[in-house]
Amino acid sequence: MANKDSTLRTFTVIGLLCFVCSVLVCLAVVILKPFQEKEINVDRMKSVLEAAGIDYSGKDITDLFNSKIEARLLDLESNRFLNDEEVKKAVGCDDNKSASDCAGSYNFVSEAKLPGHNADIDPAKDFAGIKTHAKYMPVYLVKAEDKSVTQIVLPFYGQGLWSTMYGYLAVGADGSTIQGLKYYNQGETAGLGAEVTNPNYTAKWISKKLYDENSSYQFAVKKNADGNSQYQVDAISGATLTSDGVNNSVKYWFEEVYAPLLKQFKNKEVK
Amino acid sequence: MSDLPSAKEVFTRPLIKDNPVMIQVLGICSSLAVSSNMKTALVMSLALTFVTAFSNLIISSIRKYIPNSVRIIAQMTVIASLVIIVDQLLKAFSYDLSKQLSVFVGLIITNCIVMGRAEAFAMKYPPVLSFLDGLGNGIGYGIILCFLGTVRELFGSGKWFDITLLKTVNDGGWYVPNGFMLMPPCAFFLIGLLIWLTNQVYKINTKPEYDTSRKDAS
Repeated sequence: MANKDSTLRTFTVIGLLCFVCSVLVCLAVVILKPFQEKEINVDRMKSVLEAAGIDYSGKDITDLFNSKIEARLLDLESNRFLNDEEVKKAVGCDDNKSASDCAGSYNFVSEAKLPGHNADIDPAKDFAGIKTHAKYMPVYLVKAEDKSVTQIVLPFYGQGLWSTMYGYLAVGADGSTIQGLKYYNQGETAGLGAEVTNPNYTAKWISKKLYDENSSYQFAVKKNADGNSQYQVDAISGATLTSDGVNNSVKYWFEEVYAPLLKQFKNKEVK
Repeated sequence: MSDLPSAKEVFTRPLIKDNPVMIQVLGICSSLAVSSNMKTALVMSLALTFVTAFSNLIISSIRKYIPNSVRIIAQMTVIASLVIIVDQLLKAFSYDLSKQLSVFVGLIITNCIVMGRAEAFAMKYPPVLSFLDGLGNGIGYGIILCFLGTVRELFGSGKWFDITLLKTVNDGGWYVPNGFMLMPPCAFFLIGLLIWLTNQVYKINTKPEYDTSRKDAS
């Protein structure tokens, strides 16, 4: 033990220790990866179902999701859906995954940060404070039994007070009426800003309208909202900055990004 | 090695009497952050207990081989590996909770309790005792966290483990929740009260080392 602190000994011990630890960490990551991906996928499906107002309690989430909902990738530049082959190419899925699964697994958050995969947002229009967006966005079509599209669930996100808040908004067949809101990832103050996830709050959004008859954007989240107005929702009390963030993210995504798609939807051109 | 403390004492001391949060005032950051509801408080306590116990066990087993000059780095390596494993496990099997805990699981690495026990105890004592010491300190931290979680969740949102006990006005009940309870500074005050309470009960620190009011000292 006398030589415990010699340079050689130090390097050997630390080298060995690091090696053993890194092997353990790698093993944990590799072994647990499939479980994690499954959880993330199920979590996403749950959020979409919740936004669409479909009760999933006690049912197999994946089966239910696949029977009711089809995911597509929307090209934000040309405002058209990619076909199945383009989807697989864009996401890089293998052939045994369905196009819908593949489109759903498109990671628009990390893509938005990759040069070449993203597009800059004009700072004057960047209400959501996100600077760039991905080339495509996954869009969820909720289908009735006769395969007609009854709702579209659209992902959107933007800065809140502390965090970037990620949510889904379900829009009905008139391309304007909100049928559900679900924030699935946010880091706002518990009990104040985080109340955006409270079903009692999101219920207030249902049957409000995003656009007026001329398809111009009218929706707002504001203090002392006019209860009779079909375009206004009350802000959350005690969470002004979070509410502003919510208002701005919806404004950006639904005024600047999804308006053409929802217009197509209104004219029954979305299949 | 005749002066080894008894296993029972090693385990029970940190629960209340030598509690890492109340007496040593360690691990405050995470106790403020994750104690606004019981579910995250409990999972955080379990995660920290696991990490302290096993990091103590591992560090103590290799303590005779760790070179003195880099011992902190060696401890950090062990602790960080354990924390990453816990984080990955949470993500794989309890995704919702790991979302709520966000960065705080990762920050266990820098939690002073873990480092403190590794340096102060595990480097000097045999593995089993060290394991018990880690377990005791983790549980001691857990007790405080669960206490804070209970008070804050009950009075802040009228719930306990997400079960509604006091129906809040927002949900059509009678209870007006105290929003301050959900803010981190509230935990700060609660911990202050706890420290005062333990000092009173165990009569520690009642006399300051220097009495500034004494004029005749010099």
